[in-house]
Amino acid sequence: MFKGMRVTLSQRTGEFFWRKFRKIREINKRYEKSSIKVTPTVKIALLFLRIYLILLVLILVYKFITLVR
Amino acid sequence: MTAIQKRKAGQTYFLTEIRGAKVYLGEKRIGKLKDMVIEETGKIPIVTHIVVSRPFGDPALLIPWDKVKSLSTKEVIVDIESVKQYEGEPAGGSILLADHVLDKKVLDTEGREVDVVYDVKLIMRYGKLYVSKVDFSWHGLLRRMGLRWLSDFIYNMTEKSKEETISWSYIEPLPTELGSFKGNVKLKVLKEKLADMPPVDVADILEELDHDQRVALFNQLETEHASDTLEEIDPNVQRALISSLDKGKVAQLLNEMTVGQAADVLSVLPRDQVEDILELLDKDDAKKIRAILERQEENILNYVTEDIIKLPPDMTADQAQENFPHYAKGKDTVVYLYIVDPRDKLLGVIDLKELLKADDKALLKDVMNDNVVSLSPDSTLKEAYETFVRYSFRAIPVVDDNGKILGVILHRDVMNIKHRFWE
Amino acid sequence: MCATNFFARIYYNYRRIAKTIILFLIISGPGVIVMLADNDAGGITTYAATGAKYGYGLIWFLVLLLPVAYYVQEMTVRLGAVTKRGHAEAIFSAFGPFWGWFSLLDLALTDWLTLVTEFIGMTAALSIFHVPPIVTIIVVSIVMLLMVLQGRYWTWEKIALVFAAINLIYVPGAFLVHPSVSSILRQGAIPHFPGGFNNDIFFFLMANIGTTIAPWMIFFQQSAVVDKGLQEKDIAWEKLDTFVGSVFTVVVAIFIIVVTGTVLKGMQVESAAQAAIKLISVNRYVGTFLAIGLFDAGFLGAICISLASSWALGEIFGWAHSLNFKIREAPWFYGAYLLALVTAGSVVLIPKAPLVLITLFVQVIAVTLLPATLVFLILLLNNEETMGKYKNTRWQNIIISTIVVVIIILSTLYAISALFPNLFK
Repeated sequence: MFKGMRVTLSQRTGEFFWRKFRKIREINKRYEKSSIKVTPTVKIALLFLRIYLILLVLILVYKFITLVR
Repeated sequence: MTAIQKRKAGQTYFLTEIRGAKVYLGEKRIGKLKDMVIEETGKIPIVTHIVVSRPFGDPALLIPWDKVKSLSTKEVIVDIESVKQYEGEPAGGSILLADHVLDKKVLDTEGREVDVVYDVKLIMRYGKLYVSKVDFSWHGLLRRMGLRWLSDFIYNMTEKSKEETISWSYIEPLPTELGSFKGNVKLKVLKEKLADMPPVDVADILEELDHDQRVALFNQLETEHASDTLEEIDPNVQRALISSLDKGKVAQLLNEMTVGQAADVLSVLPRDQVEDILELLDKDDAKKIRAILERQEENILNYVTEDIIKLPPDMTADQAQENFPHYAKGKDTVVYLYIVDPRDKLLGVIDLKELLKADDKALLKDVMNDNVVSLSPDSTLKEAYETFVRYSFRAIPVVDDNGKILGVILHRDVMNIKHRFWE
Repeated sequence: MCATNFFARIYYNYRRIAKTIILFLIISGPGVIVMLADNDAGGITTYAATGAKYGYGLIWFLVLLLPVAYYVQEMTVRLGAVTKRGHAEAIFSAFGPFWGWFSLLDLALTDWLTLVTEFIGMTAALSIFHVPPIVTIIVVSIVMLLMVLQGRYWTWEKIALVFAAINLIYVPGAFLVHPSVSSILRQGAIPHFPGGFNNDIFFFLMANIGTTIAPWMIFFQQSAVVDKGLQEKDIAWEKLDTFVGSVFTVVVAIFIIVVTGTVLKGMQVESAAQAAIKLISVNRYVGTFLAIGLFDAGFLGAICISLASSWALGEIFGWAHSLNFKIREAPWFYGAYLLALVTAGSVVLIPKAPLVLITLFVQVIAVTLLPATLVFLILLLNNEETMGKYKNTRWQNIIISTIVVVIIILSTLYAISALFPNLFK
């Protein structure tokens, strides 16, 4: 009896995550096309943000490594 | 487990309990009960097939109900010649109980409410399985979350706990996505039922739905009904709904409204959308709407409508009565007749009820009430609001210094729109 | 005749002015609330420490922060009133899912961590009055839940404004310590660096900028403008509201500095609660005021921060997300709000939770989000298609770009110095 219950429970969690996943895909699809006009300024700004983010992550990783050691 | 058990009359099941039961072909376990296909025949639907999910990615089985030999919460025994033969998906357009109904919002056409189905009650009669009721209760929710013991515990504690179940015949499954349930019998029924509901109730129902369902349902409404409903919907929902509708359709809906209401609806939209829609509207209306949207002062002149019944004082009551349908056509208010001289000077007002009671040959100027409560062109919306509260008229005429009638301001335009200035 | 004309004109002017003031009072709210909530528990701590270390010496710098806060927040007003949607949705639709998810998740994380620091501030403030932390957290959570549950944005705003007004408690507090006005003006009004420009003072300048602009403020004010239903015609008024708010926030900051600069000058202050305890030993009333103010700051901050997350999540996941809804109508929205409050509150209660680490972590995480948010804000405000005549003018762009570049550099350095404390020493 217990076994049966566990199966249905895991089934339900699976269903739950599947539904959430579908929701996220739906959101991605809804905003797939970026609405802002891609001018050079926008391009440069986004590129800068990407680089900035990567640098920051690298610093954090470095800090983490030195902290663990 | 014998065939006798299946025939035991009056046995009831909950869908959440039998879902997941192991399915056996003879001694061999072939999968688990996943879903049930129902068919609407007469008043209550009947289960026609069961859907069996199989392990290791094998395709699901679709087994007709008459091959099911026994059914219980633990196991289902089927009698089929070979498994291969029954592999397949339910046909498009068929209704699946677990997939389409369980956990979904349905419309309770009796209570005019939207509820979530936590469970479905099935009943066995003479070897056939029918859908009898749907469960909206907390017990259903607890059972759904696998907490049946808690549900039972509370049930025993409170004893006379009310089960919130509703007969299937009173509910309407709603379309889950755009395009699904297309051409379905249920949706047609739904459309007819919606048409009879007051716009406020339809608006309440729409607010409770998911976005796609909302759009699908809204598109089922007749233009005028849709327009009235749109006014009643909550601003956040209005915004989402209008964004998904065709611009032309929105313009059509706004044309059905008075200027004040149209401005009210447009005030929740992003600026670029407002511009697009205003382009499609009548020029004069668009100008007035712009004025309302762009200026802080709440002068009533922009809200005034000129589509009213104006009649000369020397007309007889029966003439007015006879031609009333003709006069009333396309007017924003028909409950009052405004009596004016050739230069539109307002002489008096007749309530429609008064007109019906009047002697046939009486002249309108003798029937009319010449002590008219009116507003002036520089009155504000707030003053209009106070006047409406005081006199409870359906409409109040706006008269300039020379006594000329400029139009009337409608009760619904003042009372039903979002005013931020007298909270 | 002449006299009646005169009085008629006075009456007319009076009516016009009264109408204008009423209009302002109706429209204002989001700006004042967000600005005073900006002086949250972390902010109060920063100001108290600045005053204790440098006395009145850095007051001029805080005055400079007024236009910084105003120009950034003012953009959210225009964006919200014209597009009628919150910042999270604006980012998703303009820059696509990658930046959208990044902003949303980072916001949720930053907000949650900041929320923890607000709870730390509140519990610390009330433990001065011998209130056990668990009582503080439970009572605060319940009060915050009741505030949003009444189902009207209007009511919520008025209650929040009351708490924002309590934030001004530092003003009478400063008068209690009898500071010398002439020395405040002499030391504080002229831009200079007390003790010369060194790493220490640089750290304090960065900390003060860091508390002035936070990502949640941008998300919060835009969502509040939308939830309040403000329109294009209200923009001028809401800008004024934002300006009034930024004046308040700087005034509060200055008065805190005056208090700690007068009484605690030259002491090392680790937290606002500690400053309050030290103050109580000197002057009971002022210390009490500081403690009450700290609690209120944490409270106001917590309300706004958890709402900022709930609004943003609601916009993206398509939940009903407005304070005008009842709990039954928007269960996810209020659920997210409550979940953030309860989890952040519980973290503070965990014995030996790494609270100092969390406080430090907040600054670092916030700086991953801040540049993106600010840059997006400028780009969105320059999008002619959606903004029309409300887009940034050339001058606004120049001013704001300068501010944003400075903020990005300083807050990045601040985060790095938080990570590697020895780098600037």
